[in-house]
Amino acid sequence: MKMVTGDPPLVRNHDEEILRRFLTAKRAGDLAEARRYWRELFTLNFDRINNMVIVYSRRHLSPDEQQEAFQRVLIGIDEKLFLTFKGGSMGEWINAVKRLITFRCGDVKDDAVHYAKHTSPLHAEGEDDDRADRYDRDVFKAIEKRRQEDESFGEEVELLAERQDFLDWAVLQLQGKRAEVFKLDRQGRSVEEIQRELGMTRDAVYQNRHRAIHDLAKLREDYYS
Amino acid sequence: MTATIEQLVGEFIDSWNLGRRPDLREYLARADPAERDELADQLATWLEVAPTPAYDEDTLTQIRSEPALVAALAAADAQPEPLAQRLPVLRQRAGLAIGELARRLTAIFDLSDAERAADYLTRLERDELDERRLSRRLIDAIGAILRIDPDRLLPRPPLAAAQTFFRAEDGSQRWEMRDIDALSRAALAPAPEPMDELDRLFLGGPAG
Repeated sequence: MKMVTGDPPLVRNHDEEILRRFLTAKRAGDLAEARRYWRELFTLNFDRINNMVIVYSRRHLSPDEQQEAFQRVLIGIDEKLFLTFKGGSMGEWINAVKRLITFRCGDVKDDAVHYAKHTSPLHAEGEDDDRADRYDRDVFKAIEKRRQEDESFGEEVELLAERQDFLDWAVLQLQGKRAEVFKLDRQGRSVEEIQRELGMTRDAVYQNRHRAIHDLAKLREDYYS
Repeated sequence: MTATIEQLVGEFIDSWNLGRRPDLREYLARADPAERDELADQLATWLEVAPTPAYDEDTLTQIRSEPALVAALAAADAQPEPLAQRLPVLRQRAGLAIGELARRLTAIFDLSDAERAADYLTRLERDELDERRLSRRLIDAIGAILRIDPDRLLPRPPLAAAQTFFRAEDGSQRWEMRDIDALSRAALAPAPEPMDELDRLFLGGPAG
């Protein structure tokens, strides 16, 4: 078992460092280098993004649709977010990704609804021009609406960059043991290390972890309301 | 017997921090159905604040070869062909003649001149029209009619600046004089007709 000596480096710092290098390269106009760091960042966060897609869309999308949404999110991060991201911390990066996930899951749902609603009539015999024209207009309006949302998304990402990082604030609001457990969780410590460091049983670590996350969810609602 | 939320959240975080790539679906499946929403909320919160695990090299190689990631990067890297080549293929795949595409385009924008729209589309497919002058609205409308993501119709990115500049060679003065002469004649010519809605769609640029 790994021994704990002193404060281990924050795992999160690795991400922050890659993000910092990305921002530096982008500011310097070195897009190839910026792209390299950007892709490293989202490769490291591949599982986070995948699980976020699943959890946010689990009530609305089928597993196949979730896969489609995940694919669109990855392309969106590589193409759109690469250009529009203006934040300076991983908290802002994750918020921006979360927002993109919401949009892309919505897109997949919209497409599925349109497909179900219009595929049969469009291919039925005797389809007239009016029906095709009406459908063209519906799809066009949906595309334009999505584009406006995407544009406002870029603006909101900029606003996010001006805000204090939610986590910097929220972690300070946690109290007592749950704050200590959560701090070590965010350092990527194993449960055995946390048990040793705080003199707790495994069940107590799990209980405090659960309460800390519960508190954070409430704090997030307050923070963004 | 189903596991408690506390237990599942605890195990998920342990597995996450150890870089074992926990699958959220498996954890949701292990929860009591009545508690799945709460578990999903808790795990969503964790995912937003979780540190990125310090993956070992094998795991990183595994992630880099994930089909979804490979496909996404390949799609983003692909350089599109000129629109003059892409559009006819997509149009024919949708089973539409140029005339029909033009008619449906003008219907979307409540315009009456389908014949002129067909002429524009023909010029576009013959590569006689600069694809970068197309308006974003037009691209969206063509995407809507062909039932494709309009981003597939976007113009190719312009050449890098370094490729578009050239060093002035001997004789450049002669060219400059010719340009000045052409500009003088243009200044004396009557102003062109103002663009109408159809012109703006095809020639007005992305914001047109």
